[in-house]
Parts: sequence; C-alpha cells; structure tokens
Amino acid sequence: MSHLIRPTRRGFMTGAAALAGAATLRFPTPALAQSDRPDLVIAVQGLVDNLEPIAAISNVGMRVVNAMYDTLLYRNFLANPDGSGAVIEPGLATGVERLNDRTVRVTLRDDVVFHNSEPMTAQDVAFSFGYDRMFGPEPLTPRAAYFRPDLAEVSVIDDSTVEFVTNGPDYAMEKRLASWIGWVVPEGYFRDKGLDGFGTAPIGTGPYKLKEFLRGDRVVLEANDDYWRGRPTARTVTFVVVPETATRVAGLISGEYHIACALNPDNIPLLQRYNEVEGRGAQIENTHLVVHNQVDNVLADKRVRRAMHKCIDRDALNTALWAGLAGVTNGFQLPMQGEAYDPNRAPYRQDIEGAKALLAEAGYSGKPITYRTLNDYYVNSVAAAQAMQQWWQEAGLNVEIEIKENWGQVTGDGLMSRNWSNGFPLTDPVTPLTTDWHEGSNVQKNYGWKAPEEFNALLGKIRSMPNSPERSAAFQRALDIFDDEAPGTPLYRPYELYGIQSSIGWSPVTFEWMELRPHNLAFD
Amino acid sequence: MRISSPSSAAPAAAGTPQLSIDGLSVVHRTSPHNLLVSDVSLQLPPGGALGIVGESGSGKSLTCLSIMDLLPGALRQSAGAIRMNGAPLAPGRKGIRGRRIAMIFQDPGATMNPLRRIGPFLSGLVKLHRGLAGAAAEAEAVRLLDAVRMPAARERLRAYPHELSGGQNQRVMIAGALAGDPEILLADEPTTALDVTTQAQILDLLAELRAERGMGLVLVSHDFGVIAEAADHVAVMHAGCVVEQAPADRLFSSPQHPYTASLLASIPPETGRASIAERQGRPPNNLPSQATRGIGIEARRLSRTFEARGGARVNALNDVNLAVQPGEMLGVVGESGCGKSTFGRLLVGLDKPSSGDILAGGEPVATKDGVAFRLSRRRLQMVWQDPLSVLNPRLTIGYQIMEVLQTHRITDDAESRMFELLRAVNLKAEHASRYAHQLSGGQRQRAVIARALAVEPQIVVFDEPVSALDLSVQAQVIEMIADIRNRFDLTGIFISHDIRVVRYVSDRIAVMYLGRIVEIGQADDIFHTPKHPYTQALLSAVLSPDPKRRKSRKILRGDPPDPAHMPSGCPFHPRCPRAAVRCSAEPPALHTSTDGRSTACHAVDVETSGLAWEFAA
Amino acid sequence: MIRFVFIRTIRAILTALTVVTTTFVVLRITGDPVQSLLPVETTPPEIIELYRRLWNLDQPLWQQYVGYWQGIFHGTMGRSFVDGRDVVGIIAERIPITLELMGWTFVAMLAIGLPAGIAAALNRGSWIDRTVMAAAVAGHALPGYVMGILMIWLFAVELRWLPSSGYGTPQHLIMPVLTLATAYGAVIARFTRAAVLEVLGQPHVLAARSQGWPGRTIMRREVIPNAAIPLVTIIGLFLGGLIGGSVIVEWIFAWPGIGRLLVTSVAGRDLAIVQALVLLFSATMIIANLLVDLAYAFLNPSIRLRG
Repeated sequence: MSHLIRPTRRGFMTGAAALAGAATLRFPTPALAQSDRPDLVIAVQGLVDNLEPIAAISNVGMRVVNAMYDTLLYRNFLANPDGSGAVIEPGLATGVERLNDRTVRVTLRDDVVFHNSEPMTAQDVAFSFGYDRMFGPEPLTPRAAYFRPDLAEVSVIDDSTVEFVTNGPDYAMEKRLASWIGWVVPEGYFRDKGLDGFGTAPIGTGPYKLKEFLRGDRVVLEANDDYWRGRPTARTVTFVVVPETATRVAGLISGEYHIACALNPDNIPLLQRYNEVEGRGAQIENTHLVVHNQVDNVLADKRVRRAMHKCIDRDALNTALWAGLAGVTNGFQLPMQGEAYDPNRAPYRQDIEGAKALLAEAGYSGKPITYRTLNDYYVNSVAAAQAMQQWWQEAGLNVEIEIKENWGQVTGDGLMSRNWSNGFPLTDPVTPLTTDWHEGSNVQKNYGWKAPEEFNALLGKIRSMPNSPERSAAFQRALDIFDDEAPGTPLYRPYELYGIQSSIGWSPVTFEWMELRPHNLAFD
Repeated sequence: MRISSPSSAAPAAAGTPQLSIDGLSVVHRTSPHNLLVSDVSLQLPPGGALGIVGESGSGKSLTCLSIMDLLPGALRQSAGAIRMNGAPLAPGRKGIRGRRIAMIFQDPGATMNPLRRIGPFLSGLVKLHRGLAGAAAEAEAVRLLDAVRMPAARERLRAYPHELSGGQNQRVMIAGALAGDPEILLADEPTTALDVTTQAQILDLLAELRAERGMGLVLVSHDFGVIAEAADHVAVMHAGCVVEQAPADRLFSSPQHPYTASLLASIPPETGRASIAERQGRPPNNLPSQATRGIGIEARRLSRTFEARGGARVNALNDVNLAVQPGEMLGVVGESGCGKSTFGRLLVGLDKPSSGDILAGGEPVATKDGVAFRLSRRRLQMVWQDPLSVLNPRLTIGYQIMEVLQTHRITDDAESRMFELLRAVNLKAEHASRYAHQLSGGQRQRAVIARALAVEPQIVVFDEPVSALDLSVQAQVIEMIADIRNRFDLTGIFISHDIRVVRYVSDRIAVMYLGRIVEIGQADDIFHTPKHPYTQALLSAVLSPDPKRRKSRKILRGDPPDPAHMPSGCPFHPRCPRAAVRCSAEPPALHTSTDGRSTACHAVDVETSGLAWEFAA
Repeated sequence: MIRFVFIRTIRAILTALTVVTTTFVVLRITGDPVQSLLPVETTPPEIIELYRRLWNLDQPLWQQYVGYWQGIFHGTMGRSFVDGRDVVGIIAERIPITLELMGWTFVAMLAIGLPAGIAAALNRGSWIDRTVMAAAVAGHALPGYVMGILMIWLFAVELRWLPSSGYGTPQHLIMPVLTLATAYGAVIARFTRAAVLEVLGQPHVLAARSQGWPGRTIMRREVIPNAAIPLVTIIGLFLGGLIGGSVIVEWIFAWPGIGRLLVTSVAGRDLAIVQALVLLFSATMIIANLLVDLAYAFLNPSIRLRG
C-alpha cells in the first residue's frame, strides 16, 4: 500500500504547498483501514436507483450489479489480454447440455449460497428466468421485456437441473445465460420484497454484498467471504457518484479514489503527468451509428443512403474525437461474435468520388436532409455530426444538423437521419443484426426500409441455425446486403477509459461493466 | 428649562459676536482652486438672528454646514476660522454639536430616522446631552414637545415620523434641537418643504423660542420673505461670496448690490401683471393660427376618488364646477393635498374622473389609451414641475420637438418650425442640439414648454411650472409663459401653491381646499380682498420681502386634515377662525355674488345677505 | 398589516398555481415522455401501453392534471417515471443534503458580503473600497464551474488539505460553500455598499451628526437598520436563487442534493420528479418572496402600521 503515501507533486503551487506543508494532511484513504484487505473506492459518473439486476441494466448500473450477482454461465472476457474474451465457462451452472434446437438443460452447483446465507436452488434459477419474473405478460421485472430470450417454458427437472425451452430454434441460448439477462436472484426473497424492495436491498450470489445504498450518492459493497469462487480481494467496494469528470480525475490524483470511471481521452495527458496513476481502457462492444427514416423522402433511394455511408472517414473521426482509441470495425461485425466473424472482410473506406457518382446516378437535387442528434447523449455525437456534415457537403449532400432536447423530439415528425447505437450483448451474430434490423424492427416497420427478401431470410437462418460454415456465409451475405442497402451506417466503437492507481492489478473488459471478481482485482 | 440667555458659555466680552465666521473658504477635494465658498466673513451678535439668503449653488448651505464641521466628504474647508464667543471651534465640534449649537434642516420628513419613534428620538438626545435617563428623559421629551407647541405631546411619543405631518415633524426636529439647550440654532431652509400656512407657524415658533431662550439664530433661505420675516441682519450670497450684508430693514429698503436689487425685483409684485401692458400691442404670432383657436374648457360636477391603503376612500376632488373662457388664464392655488394637481390631470384627460364631465370647446375630453386620446393631445397639453423627468435624457431637445411635429404632421418643415418654437420660449438655436442634462433648470422648462407648444395646443395646463426654479429664473419663465400665452392665444390653467405667482399670471384665481373650490374670482380681487377665511389665511401667510411689513398674521392652527377622514360639514371648519355650529353640520355651497366672486362659506353668505355672521351664528 | 399579509399570501398561492400548471402542460407537450424513457425501436407496443397506463399518460391532459392535484392533496406527487419510487420520498431524502449546503452558504455569503460592503461604503473611494469592489466583480464574474475546479485542484490535488468532493464531514462543506458564497457574497457586498451609501447620504444621518451623536451610534442606529430594509429584500430573494445556484456546485462537488437530482431527472425526462422539483423550487421562491414582503413590512413602520 505504499502507493498511497507519496510526496506532494512539485508544481506551480510548490510555494504554497511548502508554506502549508505542516498543515497538509492526507485524507485517510480507505485502503489504510485496519484490515488485511483494502477498501476499494471507485468514482462513477452516476448510479441507478434500483439494484435489481435487470432494472439496473445500463452503463452506470451493470458495473455494480456484476459484483453482486453471478450468471449461470460465465463469459471470460479476460481470456484475451485486452478483455475481449468470448469464452463461455461454467458459472453457477457446472454444465450445459443442448437437447435440441429449442431446449437446453443446465446442471447447477450445489455449494452456492445467497448473501443471506440461503442456498441457491433450482427453484431460484427457474424463477429468475421464469414466467412470473421474465417472460409473462406482466413480468415482475417489466424491463425484462427488452432483454429476454423468446422463452416458452423454464422448468425445474430436479434439485440441480433446470430446463429452458424457447418458442423457436435458439442456438444462442447458452450465450444468453452468460449475458446480462443471466443473473440469478433468490425467489422467496424477491417475491417477498417486490421489484422496488428488492432493488433497494438486493441479494445475489456474487463476490460482494450490499452494505449501504445512498441513492444518487453511493453504493457500498462488502466482501462476501463465502463466495464460491473464493475470497474477494477487497474488504469493501464503494461506488461513489462524482458527476463531474474533472472532479473524478482530481480525486483520483489526490488519492481519494482508486479507480475513476468514464474519463475522456482528453484526460490522458493529465494522468500521464502523475506516476502513481494511469489510464486503462477498452473498446466497448457497441457501435455508434447513423440510421435513416426513409418514409417519403430522398433517403428512400438507397443510392443516396450509400452515398452518405461512403462519405464518412471513420479513422479521421477516431483520431479527432477519440484520440485514436475508439474502434473502427471492418463491417458491421465484431470478432467476439465468434466463427461467423470474417477477419478478412474489407474495412469501410471513405470514397467521396464514389458518393458523387451515386448521387448523380440517383439524380439527387440537393434537397435538404436533416440529421438529428441529442446534445452528446452519445459521447462526441455532435462533433461527429459536424465532421460528417462537411464530408457530405463535399459530395453535394445538403445535410442540416438539428440538435434536439429529448428523444421525443428526435424521433418526432420530420425525422430523416439521426444517430443511434447498437450493443453487442451476446457473443453471437444474432445481436444486433437480428434484433434491431429484422423484419419487425422499427427500421423496417416504421422507417420504411424495404429490405430485400433475401436479407430477412438470411436473418432467419442466423437466428435459428447453430454455428456452421453455412451460418457464417449467411451472416457475411447479410452484412453485404446491409452495406449495399445502407439503412444505417456504423461509425465506431466507443472507448471506455478508466483512471486507476497504477499499483492496482485490474483490467477493464470490452463491456460496460467492471470485473471485480478475485481473479481480476489484486493489490500489492 | 431656562428662559434667560445661556449662562454656561464663557461670558462674552462686550461686542464679541456669539458666532463669527472669518474668511471661510470651501473647496472640492479634487479641484482645490474652484472655491465653492470664497472668503466669507459673517457675525452673529449675541442673541441675534442672522439671515443668509441666496439662490441654489450660492454656498449658503455650505457656509452653514461649515459651522458644524459637517461638510460632505468630498469637500473641505480650505481657509477661515469659526469662532464662538471669540474662541475658535475645534474640528469635529465635539461638545458643540447639538449641545451649544443645534441645527434643523429643510425636509423634516427626511431628516428623521424613519425607523425611530418620536419618544426614543427625543429622550435619546436628552440622555446624550443632559445625562437624564428613563422616566426623567421621557418627561423631558414631553416638555420639549410642549415647548414647540406640539398638541397632545405625550401621545406623540409613540408616533413614527411618517405618521406626522411635515409641520409636526419640523416641530419634533426643533424639539430635538432644544434638547441640548443650545446657545445658537442653525436653521437651513427650515420651512422650504412646508406649505405656506405651516411655514408661518414654524417661523412664529422660531421667533417665540428665540425670545424665550435668548438663542442666537442663523437662518439660511432662498426666500426673501422668510428672511425678512425672521432675520435682523441679512447676508446675501452669490456664487460662494457674500455680495452684501446689512441690517434687515436697510437691505430690503435700499439694496446696494445690483444682484440683491435684481433678486428683489424678481419677486412677483403685489400689483401689476406679467406682460399685461404688451398684451394688446404685440405683433400677431407668426405661427399659423387655426380658425378654431381659442376654445374654453369646462368641468362639470367633477369628482375623483382614490382608494387608499386599507380600503379608505379619499376624495381628491369633490364636485367641482368650473369654466375657463377661451383665451383666459385661470390660476388654481392651494396647499399640498388640496387636489389641484389631480384637477389639472383630469382636465387634460390624463386621469379618469370618478364622476362628472370635462368639455373642451364643447366636446368631451378623451381619457387615456385610445385614438381619441391621442388626437386630443393636439388640443390639450400639460407642463409639469420637474422638466428633467419628462424630457428623454437620450435625445436632443431639437429632436424631441421635431419628433412631436412629425408625429402629429404639424408641418412639412419640422426643422425650421422647431427653431421658431425655441425662439418663442427664448431659447437659442444652439440649444436644439443639447441634451436635457446639459441645460439649466430654467432652460429645461422652456424646452418642455416649446415641445408642448409644438402641437399648437389650444389649452395648456401648467402644474407648478416654476416651483423648482430659482427666484430669478422663476421670474423669467413666468414672463415667458405670459408671453407665449398671448402669442399663441392659449387658454391656460396655471396651478401653483404660491398665490403671488398665480396672481401675477392669471386673470382669475380659484382657491382650493381639500378637493373643493372655496373661492373663485378676478385675480386682483381675490388677492386684495379675499372673502373666504381660508383665502385670507393663505394670503396672510404670504411673507413680504419687507421686514417693516411683518404682519399680525392670521395664522391657521393645525394642519389640513387627512383626506381619508374628511371633517363633516365645511371641510375647513376645524381650522377656521370663524367657524360656528352650522359649519360642522352643513357643507357650504359655492355661491356667486353680484361682484362675480364665488365663495363657499356660510359666513360670507350670511354677510352678503346683510346680516352679521357672529350674530347669525 | 393583516390585510397586507392576506393579500400577499393569496398572491403567493396564485403564483404557485400558475407555475405548477404551466410546468405540467409544458413538460407534457414538449415530447412524449414514454418515447424518451423507453427505446422505442425495440420496445414492444404492449409494453409502451403498460407504461402509459402506469403513469396515466393514456388519459387526456386535463384528466392527468386533475389527477395530479388530487395526488397532491393526498400527499403524493406520483411515482418516478424511471424507477417507480415515490417522488416525495426521493426528494425528501435529498432535501436535507441540499439544505445543509444552502444553510452554510447563506451564513458564509452574509459573513463575506455584509462586512465587505459596509467597509467599502464607509471608506468610499479608498483602497479598501476599490479592493472590495474589484474582488466583488471578480467573484461574481468567475463562473462557479471554473471557481470550483480551481479550488479542487488547489486544495485537493496540490495542497491535499480538503477532500475533492463528496459530503459528510465539515471539510467536505468548505469548497462547495466557498464556491457559492464567493459568487453570492460578491453580489451581497455590492448591494450592501450601495444600500449603506444610500443611507449615508440621507439627511437624517447628517441630522444625527449635527445632534452630536458619535459615529458608532449613528452607524448602529441610523445606517444599519435603514440599509437593512433593501438588503433584506435582496437577501430574501437570494434564498430562492440559492437553490438554482446549487445545481452546478452539487454537480462539481458530487453533492447528492436536489440540484443534482434535477439535472439527472431532466436528462432522464423523469416528469414526475421534475414536476415535483419545479413545484418545490417555485414554492421556495414564492415563500422567500412572501417572507421578504413580510420582513419588509415588519422592518418598515410606514407599511407595518397601515392597513
């Protein structure tokens, strides 16, 4: 813990510091507490008000609940050094067995207890994914509707076996059980407390249990020493809300926080000036996009959409807005999607001349195209819009940017192009292509995208087939059509930057949560 | 309380002035060569009354403040000495202020702390200067109020200044000045903010107190009447210098310095009338004259009621009937609160009557906010007391006049008409390019009048147009008003608290008291043979700039009643020396006698019928 | 006086009604809250309908409005659109936190502003006056954001005297209170200076000097009480304004009060909370105004004794 005691940095304040030297006091950093394990303090940009694991799904909620709950299967992000691993390993389930295209069966560990010392049972698992909580018409956790698999039945086979049956073929089920939908909660306690009660005093099986929850201010977790994966390495973990980025950085440098989340690439030079802190980060499994509403406007012509697509220089956006840290993908795919991913797929290239040619062919007359964005709801979205507007103008596209105040205004009357993002929550090609661009999706249903029948047929294949060369081919073919049709345009993968005390052994992962389990958190 | 002259002071050698100012100069700290008071030397003989008279900026008040070492922070005394009984006074005047020399000021309402009741104010001073405390101090406070003839003294102790009238507050200030039993009282414009009848009361009080206590008095005023009334010895100041000093009777009878003479000449004479000699002989106005020029204005049963705080209703104007003939100038005179300004505003349509009608040239006058009102501006104009508040500070005088000319499409050549108008009010062409703040008070009022004349109005209401001006300027502006009235063939209403000014410019005078006209008649008749007891009191309170004519005045008692609590019967009866039982029961009507004079007084009515009022009552 | 209080109170209530109604309507016509809360693209229509029913958004506006008032009279202001918790509870747990900040800020701004303003007025034109006024201009002009960050870097990062943010201990209070109190204290100083100068120029102060009172007595008896009347008005209005000023400071210093709640609720379009906060803010403003009126009347005998 020597990293916590260090001399005041010499700088422009040396004189004042010297004068005040006698009075200078170090704030007792939690790590100095009398314990064999340190108290970890993480400065976050925000917190959720409900710690029920599905209610908490968001970029500020998942980093907390991931420390409190476990999933049946475990995606080991750290199998890759850059935190992008896609290996599915046993979790609360020791094994998974696929009975047919619609049915999987899991075998549960028998040594897992919840934070209230009650053992985890097959009933708890069935409830967590069951009709009452997840897939009925009025689920106890209403938000489950956005994330749930297309389940038909979840049943307890015996004390250590639970069976999942979907309505249609779903070969991604195993991956879903390792995703944000897969956190297991105790049935009796949950039914007793209800959604709000549970969200206030939640209980899981994870490495840390709730100690204190001050809404809007902090969540304090303490080590669950009975954790089945082993003894947690921190005595407590405190997530404290510090909304202002500059303040988070200051508190990190002053030693009050061990980790500061959601920093900007701009902060990197500052972090580099101090030896005891550093920046660590990862590209998130998410893509910022442009999406088009084509109803009754010039965007109904795919040549105009493609022209817009061709104008964008993603590397330039990355360099200018993200200090080169964001990810530019080769097509609308990520490596973690597995064997359907094609590393040799050609990356997107800027081609203004090509765009001009397309526009000429389409007979585009300079009719205005509006591009709507919220004021940086998506990080850097306004700056990106302005850069793209320049390129579009070069090609002759007359794009007007409208900065809106809320989503109602963005999606309201007169919508043409706007920004959007797609997450990749499964290590599988089903997301986001078959969830956000399919036949019943908003883009096809409301935004007037007349997708070729082939495209929709390909999505059906991707959704229902197990991994195979045929599925991979279908995926790549769907991506070809997607790029040709350009109902939307991927831009880049955002970068999540953490500031951290250099001495702490911890790695970020490529998802919007933090891995604080014993194997990824070490103190000198 | 001592009646004799002060014994605490060192006995003064014979002939040593009680107070002497020798070679006093006052400068601005940042411009030490600009003398605001220049080498002033004055003496106050023991128990005497020294008057300092001058116009604004003459340095008279600074001289007075120097005696107390109370000059504003930006100024300093650069030369001279102040001595009391021959002994120079130390800076800060410790032991002098309030104890040996006391001072009273112009606006008694503002010189009292609005948050302090009268009782603590007085007993605090008693404690400070005499060391009395508690009940003894309070008893002394009551005695002081008695000494200044304050009615119901004990009850006043709990009053705040805003609950008292101006005259009562000045009495309280005088009582406070007496608390230290001073040898000298400095009075800086002590009656300027008061009504004429109240002014007379206060001057009488000061005279009585001097006689009782043998106090020396230094009286500063711009008003020769006040000085003539109260001072034995007078110094005239001009531009920081004493231009003349002499015993009062000699100064007023044979002023030596031309400045003194010219000031005395500026006082409206008691006979004669402004520009009257020239009225017929003047060349006709070269401005185009409309065929319809010269209309009259008439008020019929005009009333205006305001709602005061707490829901009380105040009759500012009560059933007034009045007709002004075409080309006539009617003077309206009365003390503050008598309703004369309300009347003026109603006449030009700036306020809406509660009941009654106003007819200008036979047509009803439109009130605010409407096309008719805007059109009526071409016939009806008003001139206020404070020209600075009605002129736009950001526009030149010329622009403002041309703007009016163009708005009302008076002429195609607005510019040359503007210059003509300026000439008509005796302004020069160069004034057209000036802003209001660059003009003197008199010039501003001329500019306002020129702007009012721009629309070629037929009727102009002048509301105290010269009250804010110095005496010499006042005379010029009055002359100018009389002049343009003739040249423009105006029908005018001239409102003032000063009956001398009103008489000087008006053909007829209406005297108002508490929202009613109590007497109306030919100006000279009213002035020389007033019939109504109030008119008589008003005239009696007029101070003549001649000490030999210190009158045995008919001083009214008390103050005008609160308009929210109007007395029954004749509103004047509580103060009227002739009041009888009938007067409190029955309001008198305005009756016109054979000589054309109208009076609202039971006594006059009875006497007109040949009976003796005292007998009839 | 009773009539005065009555009229002012009625006026205050009418103002509150107007504010609530306006916010209610404006918040609902500037965008469908459900669209803002739920990812429309991926939300099944039946879920959207469920949410609409939950918050009565399926009813006509006037019915929602009537329901809102009924709720207020039953002591509830609805449930958070985002997590369904009772709005009154959510706000109630934040209020003491903000009040702590506001209370100390109020004390500090007076402690800074009043003496500085009085000293400047009494030494008009001197170096004291010029220094105070220059500091006042700087203090007022420096945005709270810049001031806050500068203080964090000086006191938390460089000197390590104070915690960079958060709340709980007296040390945590110092920087946020100073940030707010500097800005408001600067304004108070200017108003105090003006008010004292105004009174110093009044004839009754000159009269008191002529009566032989010592300078301290004049200050205590003539100047301070009379200057207090306009100052009470200004300071009272600051009470309301402080809440607005707290938004930025709560943000920078991670102070979990209602200012920050407002920011997050507006961003999340949590109408129920925004609505309740607007009601709270306007009630604070209105009550502050009312108190100012009453204090003004109480301090000023010419109003107190009338009516």
